[in-house]
Amino acid sequence: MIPNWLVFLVSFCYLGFLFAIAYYADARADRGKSMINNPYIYALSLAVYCTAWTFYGSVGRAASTGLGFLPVYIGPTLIAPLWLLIMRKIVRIAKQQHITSIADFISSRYGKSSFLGGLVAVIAVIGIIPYISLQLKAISNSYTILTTFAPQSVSIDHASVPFFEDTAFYVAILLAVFAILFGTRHLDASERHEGLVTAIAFESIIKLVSFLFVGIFVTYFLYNGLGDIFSHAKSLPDFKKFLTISHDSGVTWDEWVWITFLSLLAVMFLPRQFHMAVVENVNEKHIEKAIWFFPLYLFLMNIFVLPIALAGLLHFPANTVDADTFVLAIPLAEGHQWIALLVFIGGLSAATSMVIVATIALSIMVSNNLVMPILLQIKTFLSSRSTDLTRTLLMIRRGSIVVLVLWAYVYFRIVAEYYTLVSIGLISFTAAAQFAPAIIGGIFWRGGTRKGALAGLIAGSLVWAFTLPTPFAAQAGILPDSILTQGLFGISFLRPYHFLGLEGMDPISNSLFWSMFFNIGFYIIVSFSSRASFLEHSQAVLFVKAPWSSGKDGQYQLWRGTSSVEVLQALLIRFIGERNTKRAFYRYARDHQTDLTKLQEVDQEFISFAEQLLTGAIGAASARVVIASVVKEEPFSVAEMMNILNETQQAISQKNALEKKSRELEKATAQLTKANARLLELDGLKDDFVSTVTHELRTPLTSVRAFAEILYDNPDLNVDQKTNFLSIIIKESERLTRLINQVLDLQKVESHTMDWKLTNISMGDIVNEAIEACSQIAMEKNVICRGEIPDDVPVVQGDRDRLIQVMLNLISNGIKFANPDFGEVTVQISVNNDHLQIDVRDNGIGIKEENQRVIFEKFRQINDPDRGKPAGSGLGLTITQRIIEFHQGKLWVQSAPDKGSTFSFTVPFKRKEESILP
Amino acid sequence: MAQKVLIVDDEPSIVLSLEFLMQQKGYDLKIARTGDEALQFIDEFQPDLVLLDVMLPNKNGFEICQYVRSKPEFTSMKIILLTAKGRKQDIEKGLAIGADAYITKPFATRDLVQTVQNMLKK
Amino acid sequence: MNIRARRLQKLVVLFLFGIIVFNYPLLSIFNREIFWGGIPLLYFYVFAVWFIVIALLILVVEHKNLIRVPKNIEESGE
Repeated sequence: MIPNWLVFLVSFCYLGFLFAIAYYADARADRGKSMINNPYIYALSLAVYCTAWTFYGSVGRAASTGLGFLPVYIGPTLIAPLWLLIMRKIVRIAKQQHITSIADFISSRYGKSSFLGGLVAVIAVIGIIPYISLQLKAISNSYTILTTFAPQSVSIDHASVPFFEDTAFYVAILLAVFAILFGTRHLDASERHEGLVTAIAFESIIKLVSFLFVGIFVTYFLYNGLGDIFSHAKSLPDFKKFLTISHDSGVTWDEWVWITFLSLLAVMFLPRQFHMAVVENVNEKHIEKAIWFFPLYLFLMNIFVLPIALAGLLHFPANTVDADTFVLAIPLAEGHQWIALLVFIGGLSAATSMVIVATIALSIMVSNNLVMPILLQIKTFLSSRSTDLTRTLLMIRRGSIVVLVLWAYVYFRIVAEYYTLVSIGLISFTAAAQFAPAIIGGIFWRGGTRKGALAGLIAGSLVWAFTLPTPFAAQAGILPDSILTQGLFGISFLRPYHFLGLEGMDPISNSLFWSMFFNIGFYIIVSFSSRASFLEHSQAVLFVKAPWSSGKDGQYQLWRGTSSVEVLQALLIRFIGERNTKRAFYRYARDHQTDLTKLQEVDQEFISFAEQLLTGAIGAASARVVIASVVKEEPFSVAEMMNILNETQQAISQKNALEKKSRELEKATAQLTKANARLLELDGLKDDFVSTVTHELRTPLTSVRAFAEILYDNPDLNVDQKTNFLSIIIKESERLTRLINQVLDLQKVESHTMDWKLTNISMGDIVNEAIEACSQIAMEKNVICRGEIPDDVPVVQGDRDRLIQVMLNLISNGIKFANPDFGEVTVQISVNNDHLQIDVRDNGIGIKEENQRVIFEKFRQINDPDRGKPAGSGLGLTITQRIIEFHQGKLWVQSAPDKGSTFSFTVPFKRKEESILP
Repeated sequence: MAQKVLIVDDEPSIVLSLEFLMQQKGYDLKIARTGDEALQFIDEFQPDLVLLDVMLPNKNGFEICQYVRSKPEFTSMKIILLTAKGRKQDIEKGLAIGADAYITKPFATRDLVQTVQNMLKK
Repeated sequence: MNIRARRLQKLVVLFLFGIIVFNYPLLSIFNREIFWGGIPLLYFYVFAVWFIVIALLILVVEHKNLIRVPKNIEESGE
């Protein structure tokens, strides 16, 4: 028996030390030296998993079920390897979305639903409060045992102790103070609580050290090692149950499996675990360390559980001492009061760490997911005069901490008496497990919808409430006992422990099975049969796509609207304070290299950024409501909707078809682009053509006008001059006429309105006629023009006038470019198998190879400096080619510079019936 | 001493008409039919005014105009661009390059002569 | 990248391994009232396998870190 004052002093010294550590860590963090940016601190802080239940209850459970205490710790070890898959993803999402609690996570994933967040918060509070009260009970128990221990009297009657004499009450108050001081320093809960995490990590060390200490003391000092204890234990009447898993041992195979499964979920989804592992995570790399360090911690924590339990059973006659208190009772009975005191500290650390973290985690949910949505419903809240809401928000969070702790205390005083540590713990585990389908499904399955999550959670938690807390209430006498034996309303299918008539399972397994059955079932079925809203869907994509390679990948801009920097800034200042706002804005401006003061209207990215800042303070759903109050939303454009539709669940089946279509569209677009480019080119050519034609028209016109004016102004010119000038006028007028005719011809050919007159014709006659017609210009240019025509040229079908035009064109071209000194143009007709070939050869400067193809192109002229001014309008050859094409022949040129050019074309003997004219 | 005018054009009948008009006013004349010829005569003949066609073999009128304006010794040389290219951008280009006047073909003979006389009077 | 993917695969294998070794029916092989050096077989088995799993976890997780020498680089990257 240890004096009251000493235990009291030690307890409060310990708690004072805890405050000091937290204070020191926070102070260091403020100076920029983080304590918690250390993977071991992170892994140790996860050991908040080990509560007073572990510390005291494991031994109790081992005493009654042998190895039955183990699955709770094996489960976390099993899931640890998958943390890189699951936890890292959750951490990334939470950081990106500024998520601060499990309720926020679920609410955010399913379209930032306020209702869903509230529901999760309610389930969490109902499920976890008993667990917190359990810790208070453990503190109270251990205190009582320490101060009043006598082996023969162990019955503890809490009810008889008034609360003001109860240490647990004062501890509870202190814990609430601690939680408020170190858990609500900042409003933005996504900022880390350095002091809190450091203190929790410290507590984890204390509880492990003290438990190992007592384990080693019992095993190696009271006994001579493990083997010694086991051999002594053979004398115990029910020794066999400690050796195996069997019906006799009190833990069956299915219990083993189910509890392993349960704890595997609980280690991730208990609010306090989520808080430590996700919200307080500073670096996702720390998760890697935790993967092995945390299981190692659990391993060490459990090695001596069974030996201590056996030692306790050997020490104390059956049922004289509660097995839950063996760790304390053994040192006390052996007279080692200091060891007992150390154990007490260990138990205190286990209990307090749980209470602190759980309370903070719950208070965030309560304030962000319960109180805030209600406040936002009140219209005056946002528009209220009070400019600074940060104080209000902090008060809400602090108030909820006090309420939660006191609630837990009251619960402990009234209800918790009746149960062992483990049983209540497992009830809380099962409640936390209800979050698993919505979260796991939420991050790996896009199809999970808000309605699905809602249905799953409601169904699962109702089944949980009926199969676990209800029978406890019945046992405690709050509800009639008949529910247990005969079922609800006397329906035997509705017996809590044998839900739907399932026999042969222990209560926890029974509850877990059925709640998961309905939870997962409803989640999947309702998800399949409901449609996700746009916001839900985009959040789903965001969550499932994570982890992103970079921050922006896969992130939709969820705001289609406008607002100004000032409005958002004012809003944020009200919620998160001026300093935080300014700092965040500064960081944003720096990262995006923009000057916010110059921004007139903010973009969607900035609004999303503001929303996330706010999410950290008041939760996703509330943040959305608040932002919506200042952002004028605009409808999404069709293109944006289509973009999002591409991703929707309903569209996935059509996605392949869409992709095919889009490929086709792409092809079509490419073709259109090409066609457009070609059209533009043609347009340019046409422009040039018009310009050229104009030029060609103006040139003769200039001469005509100039000489007409000269003649008019100078009536006294001599006759020779007059004749000369008049002949120029006539010549230039002819040139004009010719040009106009050519343009008209081309227009006709191009528009297929040419009036073709097909007759049987002799190419020889045509060539002769053309040479004849050109003799005048040939003579002028001093060019000899001759034809080489065989005697019997077959008759072909064609348009006589047009073919003469072709010949004239080619011959006059030849004359134009023939050698200026001794020019020669030869026209030769040769008869081939099925066609005639006509060659027009000159001895001029020739055409460069790169120009040979160009000259046939419509509207093209060669601007060759060596060749002089482009001759004609650039239409002659084009028209010629069109005419020959109509006659189903070909036109080409053979030439080399200074070797002269030969233009050749063919005319087939027989026209094919189907015209190939384009 | 008579003032010197260089006519640059490749269209024989237009050259003939310009030649007649300039001779009538008593200017000393040279005629160039290609761009290269024009440059050669500008250097050798050093005319007071150039009647310059734009579309020329070898070098176009714009290039010749630029050449003249790049030489300090020709600062007083007047250039009248004379061309069938009547588009607005052509006119602007010509004036920007440093031509003193831009006359589109077909031109009124009296206007042309008037412009030439005005320029050479200064 | 490849090393990371392989590590992830190894961890998944370890998860499956854990599921098997800590579960019925494999566990039932050791579910006998036999002592090993004075220690019950099942108790010994569970803790031994538990320790092996943890050792394997260390091996897989820290493997990369053992190769990469400068530790501070790893810490700094968030």
